[in-house]
Amino acid sequence: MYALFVATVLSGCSPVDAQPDPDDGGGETAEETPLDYRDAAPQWTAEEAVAELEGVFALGWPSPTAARAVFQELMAFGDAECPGNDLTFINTLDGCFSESGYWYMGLGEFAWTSTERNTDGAAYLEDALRTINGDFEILTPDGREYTSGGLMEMVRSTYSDHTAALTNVRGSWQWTGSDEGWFMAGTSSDLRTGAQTGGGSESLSFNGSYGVDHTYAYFDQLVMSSTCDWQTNGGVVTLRQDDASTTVLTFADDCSGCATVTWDGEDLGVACADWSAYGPVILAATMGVR
Amino acid sequence: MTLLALLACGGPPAADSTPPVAEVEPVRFTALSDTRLLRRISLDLRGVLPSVAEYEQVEADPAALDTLRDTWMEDPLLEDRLVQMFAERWHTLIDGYDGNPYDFHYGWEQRYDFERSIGQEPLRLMAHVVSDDLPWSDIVTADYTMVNPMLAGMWPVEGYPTDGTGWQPATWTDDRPAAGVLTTNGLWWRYSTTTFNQNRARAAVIARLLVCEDLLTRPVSFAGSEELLEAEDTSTMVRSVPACLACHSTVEPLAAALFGFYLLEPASAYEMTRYHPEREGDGPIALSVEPAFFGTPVNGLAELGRVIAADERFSACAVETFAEGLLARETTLDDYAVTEALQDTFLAADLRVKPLLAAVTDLPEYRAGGITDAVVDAEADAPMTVRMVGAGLMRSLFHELSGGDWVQDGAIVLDDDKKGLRVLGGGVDGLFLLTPQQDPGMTWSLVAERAAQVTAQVIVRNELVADAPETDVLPGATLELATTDPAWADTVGDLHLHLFGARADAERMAAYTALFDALRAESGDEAAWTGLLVVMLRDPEFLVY
Repeated sequence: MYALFVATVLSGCSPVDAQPDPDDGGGETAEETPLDYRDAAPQWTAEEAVAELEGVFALGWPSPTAARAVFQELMAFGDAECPGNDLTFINTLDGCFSESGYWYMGLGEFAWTSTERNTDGAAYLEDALRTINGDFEILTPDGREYTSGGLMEMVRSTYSDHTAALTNVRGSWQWTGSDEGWFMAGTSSDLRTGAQTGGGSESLSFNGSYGVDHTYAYFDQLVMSSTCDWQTNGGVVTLRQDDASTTVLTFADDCSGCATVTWDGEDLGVACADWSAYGPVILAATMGVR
Repeated sequence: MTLLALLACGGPPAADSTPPVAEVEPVRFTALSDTRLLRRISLDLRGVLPSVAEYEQVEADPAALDTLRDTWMEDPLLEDRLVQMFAERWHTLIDGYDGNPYDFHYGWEQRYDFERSIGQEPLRLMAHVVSDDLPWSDIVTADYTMVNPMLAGMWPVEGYPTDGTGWQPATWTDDRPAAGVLTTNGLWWRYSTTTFNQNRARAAVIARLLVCEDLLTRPVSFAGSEELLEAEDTSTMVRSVPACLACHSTVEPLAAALFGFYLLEPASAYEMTRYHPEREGDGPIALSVEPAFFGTPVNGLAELGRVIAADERFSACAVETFAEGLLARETTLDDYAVTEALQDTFLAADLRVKPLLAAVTDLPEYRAGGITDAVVDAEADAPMTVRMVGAGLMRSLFHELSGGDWVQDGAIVLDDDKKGLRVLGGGVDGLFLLTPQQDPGMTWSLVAERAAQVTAQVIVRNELVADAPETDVLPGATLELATTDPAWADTVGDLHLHLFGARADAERMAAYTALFDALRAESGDEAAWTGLLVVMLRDPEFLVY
């Protein structure tokens, strides 16, 4: 009641008082709100943005087969008591030391399956590698650490005339003993990489979010193709700046490897890169080898 | 009211007008005595009792009360007390998170320390802002967090001294934005999300805690509920059905700004510990809306913090938070004039909280010991002229008096529910009981009784039996001191003043003497001192303030 009275009193003032002040910023719409809270600015030139992205490729590419290989290697140091067998550990939520001094904690298991399939008259072999459990930590006696919190998956379909593979690297993965940059630095991602071989050409596609070594990118159908000598051929990559604003690289679909770079709608120019060395390496990592 | 109306319209009355006759606000409260008020302020700001010397200072000069209050604002205990106060509102001190001590190579015996460390992180940051006299807006813009040695080893932070102790600032190393509590792990470990909820509940938490907009209290019409129930994709429906839009037009854009804390493996400590900058862009995709705060577009958490800090409701919400914490009740529209004046004080102090705390303790209601006949029956229950010592204050009081904590299996009994009695003692568990108990109850009384017994035993054994005092509750006393010795009356009289904030009258002293002598005759010296202390520590006058 009192508040109502106050409101009545206030609204009963002179007509001038009763009018909203157009400069008071009290509205809730974007147009009325001063944007003085926003102090972002472009962090990179076009060339620097392309170089930043190239730094990501230079670290190698996340691969479920690589993640599984390390897992197998480290599981070999376990024993019958800890973690229980050399394929999986599920009863180690509070961790255990094997006799060899390796520490296993959490839930860990990779599984390979091979299935003959026939879809719409096309027969193919589906090889799949997946984490059954990917929430673990393995420590070596010399202080190296393999930590995971997420999913690694590779599904490869081998047809009579071509092969297609898709990897999904999801969550957080790190192996500090790795000689691959992405694995040693650790990655946080929800990244899907597609690969195709056959018919005289090979290609890669990249989709999803990927963070590695303090660089954070979102891929939207970025394509690399052998028909373009492994240069990029279309797609968009969004790079996160330190201030959390984003720089967008829109790659031309003309095999030029060039991208138009913008920040907050501002055109920063065009920059080109030669990433031809990375394509075959990523293709191999994505196809996987059992 | 007339005066208020004139002030509200601005400008003095015309010179030839009849001077207004100001209505005199009826006196609604009777004042606490100066020493009891000193006790209340000390408990509210420090969680401990004033010393006998401080009481005597105020007895000699009531103006010393404000001086002492201002001095206590600089007491390190203020930070601990604020953490207690914030916990009752932020609900982060829960028993149990998705992560557990094993994930960080701690044993289960460190479960309590682990959970309280995590839950206190955002609360400590806010308390640090207050105690260091920083603008309250820093709680949503700070580029650091607060960690103790345990968190310094768990979180991806740097800057905590190698041999450091206690809570100190540290900076994140995982590229999370500078947004104060909004980027603390502790807050989002408490308020986790799911693949279906997608940060919406977290958005509601931000609105409730930082601008006091409780979206869950908004009226919802279920006129379109059949349509909703039949919809396969409710995520889309809540953005189009008018009844849903009332909340979801606010919730979804705010939730979209929080995807750096969205987990792809929900129970993974490795995922939970780190911020994920590359997922910030997932929010607009998952929720089909750009990040914004009540209509103002934001580019991630750093901007969100700055926008919240600039929102008028942020300072008003701070006023509400501290006023309700110190007045021990919810504020309502009836408090508009008071909270408005407090907000003016807060804004004039550049959002520094200490002047606001001082202003609240100056309010007649804060200083009240009772109500007068001017308070109509319908309003009589609103002011808390007597506050109950709940589990949090009980803990700090008994810690002060005994020099230690009542511990069970590594947990402080009055601050834990897995191994303790926090809820039974009137506290908040942060999950099921969200407001502190205001009125005495059976379990509270039993907890207070047992706490008094434990505390009394420790005091007597340390100070009088082992002669290894960590405290000085019974200065000048010995185990054998006779009640006929004037020193006994001096000790017990001072103890009464220390505990109650009032002098014991002759009748009370006679009762103490009779009790003490009877206990000594029946069970000996130690039992006499212990029994006397238990009686005093269980006294309702001690357990309220």
